[in-house]
Amino acid sequence: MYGTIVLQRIINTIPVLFFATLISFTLVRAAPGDPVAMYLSTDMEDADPEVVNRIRKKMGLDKPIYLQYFSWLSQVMQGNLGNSLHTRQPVTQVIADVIPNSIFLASVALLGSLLLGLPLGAITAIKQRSLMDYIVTTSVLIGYTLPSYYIALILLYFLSFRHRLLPSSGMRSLRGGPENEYLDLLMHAAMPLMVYIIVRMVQWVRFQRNSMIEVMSQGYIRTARSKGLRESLVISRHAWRNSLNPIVTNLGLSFSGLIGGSFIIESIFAWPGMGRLGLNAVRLRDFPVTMGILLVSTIMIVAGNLLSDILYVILDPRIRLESHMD
Amino acid sequence: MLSTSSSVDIPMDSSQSSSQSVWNMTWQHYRKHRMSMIGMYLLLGLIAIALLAPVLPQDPFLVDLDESTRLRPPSSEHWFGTDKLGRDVLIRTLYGARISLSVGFLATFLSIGLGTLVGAASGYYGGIIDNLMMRFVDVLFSLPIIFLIIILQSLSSKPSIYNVMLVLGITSWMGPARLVRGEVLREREMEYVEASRAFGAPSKWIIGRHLLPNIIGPVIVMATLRIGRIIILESALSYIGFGIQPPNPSWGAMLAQARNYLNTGIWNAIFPGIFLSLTVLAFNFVGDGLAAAMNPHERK
Repeated sequence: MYGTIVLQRIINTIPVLFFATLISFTLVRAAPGDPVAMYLSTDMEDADPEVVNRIRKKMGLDKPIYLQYFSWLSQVMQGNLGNSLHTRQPVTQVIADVIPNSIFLASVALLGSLLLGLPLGAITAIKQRSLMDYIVTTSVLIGYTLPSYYIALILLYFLSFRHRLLPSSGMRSLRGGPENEYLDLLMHAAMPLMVYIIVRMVQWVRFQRNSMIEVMSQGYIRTARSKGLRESLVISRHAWRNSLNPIVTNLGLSFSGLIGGSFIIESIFAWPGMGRLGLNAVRLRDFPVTMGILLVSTIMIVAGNLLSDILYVILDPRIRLESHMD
Repeated sequence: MLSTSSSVDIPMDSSQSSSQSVWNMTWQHYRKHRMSMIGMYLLLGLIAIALLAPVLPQDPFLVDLDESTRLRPPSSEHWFGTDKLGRDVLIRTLYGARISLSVGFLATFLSIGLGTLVGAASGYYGGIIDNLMMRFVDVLFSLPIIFLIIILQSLSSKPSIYNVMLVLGITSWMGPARLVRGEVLREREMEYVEASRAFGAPSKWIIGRHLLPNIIGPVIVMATLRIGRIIILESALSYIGFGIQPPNPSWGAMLAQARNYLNTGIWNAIFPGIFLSLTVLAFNFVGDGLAAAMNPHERK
């Protein structure tokens, strides 16, 4: 039974991907700056008009945008994202080079924020209005009002400028770093991770606190208590487990925020990942790379949504496909 | 944001004959919460600063490259110190409030307006219109919005403050649209609406008299909470160079500059940061206060 539901959900993503890439493509191609000029890296006035026309034809830029989109799409289907206007390398190669760095940062951040955020959220829900609750909710509120780059600035000031404990940017030391290359990597990743984890954790604490409060008011908790079960068992066996359901289904939905965060955090710490590559591509008006990053990010977000959709169905058998459609 | 959606239940009490009394009740409840009132006063103070900044006898753009005025710590002459170009940090921070608040208010106004329009049409008419619009929302939500904003910002070579407002407004209406649609759908099925329809009330009357007044509460709460997020987003964009451009004194742009001399001029990072944080905090307090005050379950 799950098979058909899962299959249907997967089919549903096709039109979403189609229209999302169509919107992306139109937008990216609407950007000013002539790709040919970018490609030749000259001012158009100096360029030989014949050469320009030839390149324009070769790149398909003389056709209307929707035709350009379809030829881009058919190339994508064959695994070809075009070449970077800047480095002339295949876009697939350019993205493949940096994507592990982004995935490393984002997945450690996701894991770390869950490991810290969920217990804190649960404890504050169980001990509402305690000192602990007060401290955590206040810190969460402060974390919520501080932008990620400002948290980064504070960390940079203390850990990198005042005390030279951690490197301020990049992923590897060019010289003078620690002997062990993993230690070097870890030291470079430390600050971006701290910022990423703080920013993501704030969401999980709030979410888990609400979820736990909701669960604690359910009838089966009262039943468990009234049959004489110890409070610690009520919490660990009944409340905690059930409170995780909404978290599991929201894991996939959080991909969107993780990817969004990568554009800011990677550019703050010059972390050589997809986010920073994307920003540079926009600055250089390198439209094949920009488009490639839009495509990859969109696929990841859609995959996250799909994952959460499927888990939602699996975790709650009461949910029929129809009732979830609207 | 589970907390928002669950706490924005709206009053459905039929005994509230005039809308005046609803606002009055909300206010009576609102003023009892200390945090909400602190947030409100903070916000009024910031608005006053934003409005009065141009009256102050200081020029935020005045560059003084004299060695004795560049990158000076706070003093009686320059309360917040000076930056690398010898400009007064205090006056620039106050001008920053003007930029942040106007971007926050106008971009949110635009996004809430668009969202209400789409959401109300979707929820009221249903059927194919609803389906198309909501699928469009799904499509936009599957794009990396921040990257999209950055691309939109790069469409103009030197984005102005109006650019930033427009871009942030047209990329953030999807959440409000979903909220409004949900509220309209729920209200539409209420018995009092059915009764009204049974009495022969036209659609226009039902939308104007019943649906809109009842969804305005959650929309106001959502708008208030979103202004803070929009302000953070604007400052982050300005920080990475895709928002308000220097020499305009946006907090994000000021902080981006401050990063280059954290060791020798930390005050450049402290003051805009405090103002930014307080502004977002104020909107949060007011938003949470409004949400609680408009919730009939908590009002008892």
